[in-house]
Amino acid sequence: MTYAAEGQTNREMPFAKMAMWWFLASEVMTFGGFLASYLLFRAAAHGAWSELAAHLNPWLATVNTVVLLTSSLTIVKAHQAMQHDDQVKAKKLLGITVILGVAFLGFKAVEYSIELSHGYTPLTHIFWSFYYALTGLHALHVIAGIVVNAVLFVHASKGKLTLARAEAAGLYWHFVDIIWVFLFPLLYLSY
Amino acid sequence: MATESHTNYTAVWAWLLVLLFVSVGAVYLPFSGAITVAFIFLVAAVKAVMIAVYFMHLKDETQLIRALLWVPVAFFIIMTLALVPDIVVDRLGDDGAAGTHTSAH
Repeated sequence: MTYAAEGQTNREMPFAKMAMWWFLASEVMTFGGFLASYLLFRAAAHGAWSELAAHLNPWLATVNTVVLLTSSLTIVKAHQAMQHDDQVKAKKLLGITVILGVAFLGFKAVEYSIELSHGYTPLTHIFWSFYYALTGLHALHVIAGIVVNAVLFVHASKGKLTLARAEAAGLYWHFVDIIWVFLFPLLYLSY
Repeated sequence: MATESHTNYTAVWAWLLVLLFVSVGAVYLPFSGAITVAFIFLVAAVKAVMIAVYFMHLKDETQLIRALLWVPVAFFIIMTLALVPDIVVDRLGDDGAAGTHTSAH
């Protein structure tokens, strides 16, 4: 399928895609502000946060990274399927993407419960405040992505999914993946 | 792009996993902390660029779309670097060399 087939012959690219890129530009600054603050506070602490970061579980986070990277593969394949107007394949891949997104949140919930059971709350130390704020904001984005992908799954089930929507949803999901690609070493590996 | 990309997405995904395990493994190598951290973040940057270029199809996009990504990223880098002097001054204050600086941390 092409954009032209969706009645968008009068413009170079669909509004959904252009709007998504503008939205992602604003998201860079949203996460950028948080990440810059974290980096600078951590640098100013002269290594004192390393001991706190060592309490995190890098193996669980590694599994979660694999889950999220795999979900990026499935959603880009869904977009590819839509380029061939294959709604059935797109539906299947969107379904897998949703399941992987839920799995990511599940692993994150396990991690939170372990940390909270050890008494590490957002009020324990500013490192933990940053940890919960950064991963929490990211998790909210994952939840939003799951909802959108689930809606598109339903559209594909009815044979009504459009290429423009599949592409816009994919762009958002990949961006969420990129944010995690930086959060992972910032929080889990840099001790 | 409306045109179909011929990227081998599975190969890109496999490389992303390889880079992930390289960065996890780097923690256990006998290098200094600064070198390890620099390496880990270099690998993270490569992974992010691969996702943007191949999965988000940035390699096929218009200059406007590329600018929509790189301009905010540049702002983020400038914003971070612009605040680095504050840490340097803070450190001097802690060492007693600056004398007049007081930290709110």
